[in-house]
Amino acid sequence: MRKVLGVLLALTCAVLVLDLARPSWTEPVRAASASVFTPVQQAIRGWDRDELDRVAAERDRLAVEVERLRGRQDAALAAGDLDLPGTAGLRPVGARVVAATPQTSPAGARVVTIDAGSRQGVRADRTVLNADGLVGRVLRVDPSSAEVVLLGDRSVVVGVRVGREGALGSLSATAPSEVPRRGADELTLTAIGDSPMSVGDVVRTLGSPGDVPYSAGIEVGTVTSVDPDSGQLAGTAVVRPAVDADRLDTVVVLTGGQRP
Amino acid sequence: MTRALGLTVRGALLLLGALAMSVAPRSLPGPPDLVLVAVAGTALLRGPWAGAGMGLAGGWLLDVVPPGAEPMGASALTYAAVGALLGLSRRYVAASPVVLPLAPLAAVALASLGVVMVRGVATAAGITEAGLVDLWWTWAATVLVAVLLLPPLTGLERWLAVRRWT
Repeated sequence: MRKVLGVLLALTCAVLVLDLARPSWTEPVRAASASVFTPVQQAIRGWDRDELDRVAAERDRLAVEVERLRGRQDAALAAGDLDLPGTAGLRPVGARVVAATPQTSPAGARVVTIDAGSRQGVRADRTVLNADGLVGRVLRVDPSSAEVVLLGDRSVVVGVRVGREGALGSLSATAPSEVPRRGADELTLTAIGDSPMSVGDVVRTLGSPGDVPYSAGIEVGTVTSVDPDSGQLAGTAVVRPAVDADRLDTVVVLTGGQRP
Repeated sequence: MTRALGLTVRGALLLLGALAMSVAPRSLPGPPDLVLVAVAGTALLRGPWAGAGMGLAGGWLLDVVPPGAEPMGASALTYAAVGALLGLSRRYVAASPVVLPLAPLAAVALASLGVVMVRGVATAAGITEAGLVDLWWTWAATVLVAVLLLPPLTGLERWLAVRRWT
């Protein structure tokens, strides 16, 4: 018993190091686990809510489509009707959040599992949103499920436009040491250049060529306060996300974009 | 053969706990750590080695049940250590007749605090992020669930021991 446990602990340490050094080598384990457990999670979540979820997903899909087209129209107007290549033909795929990383995981990222995968056309690095705004991007894809890293995870940085002027900036969960400490759900907007930022400014995604990983014009949040100049290299502000990540239910994945 | 039956029963308990934690509504401020309670049920009766084994298995499930945890193996090692410590506390829990009903609960409360603090330290170090309020709620919910589940879980362990399914 003790020898077996010792061997298992040693193997676990080896896997830990391997996952840190070469995450792709442990992907088959996660893929196999997803194929086994996700159907069970879907069944648990779907026992009493199938119809409600279906209708909610459809509502969110349509609302997202309207929001996306409106944002794209605004972005096109701001850019002088510049026609970006590769942005047409995106297809929204509705999905439901079926699982999330438990709070007690020692170093767990802000990741959720959705019940749509490669069979539904979901690919890695695609934009995920709901009726309120940007949720995150697809991290990993399995045949019938996908994992989505949420806005607010430390690994997520989003290029954005701020306010009516469309000033450029980047949005992330980490803040420079010079600025006041952020709340649990607050994000830090770092401006590029000297464009002024004001409380109430709406922050939208800048977008990427081919809409990978983020499509343009999706609402991300609202500026709630602007940090005083404390010697940071660029102007910073606090942004409250448009989406409440703790109450995620149905989401939409924008599929069909092409890697640049 | 009989030992395999015991392992199957405990594995099923851990799996139920890990699945329930993964599908818990995110709107809950801090869902309880069901895996830890299951580990405690075994460790407090069977000692540090069984506790470490149970913790390792439960942590692995938390690592791989989607969306899983990163890096893979970190939860397994954390829960193995906590399971071993819970098992080491067995002699002190058994030797405190005055507060006997509360001693196992206190051990689980400390163990849960340990797990939550690992996440808190990881957050402070910038490795991950977690809300302080959510962590606090997770700890409180775990203790509350332990009040309800620990007696039947330790009863199950005794039942397995009587039938030599251990």
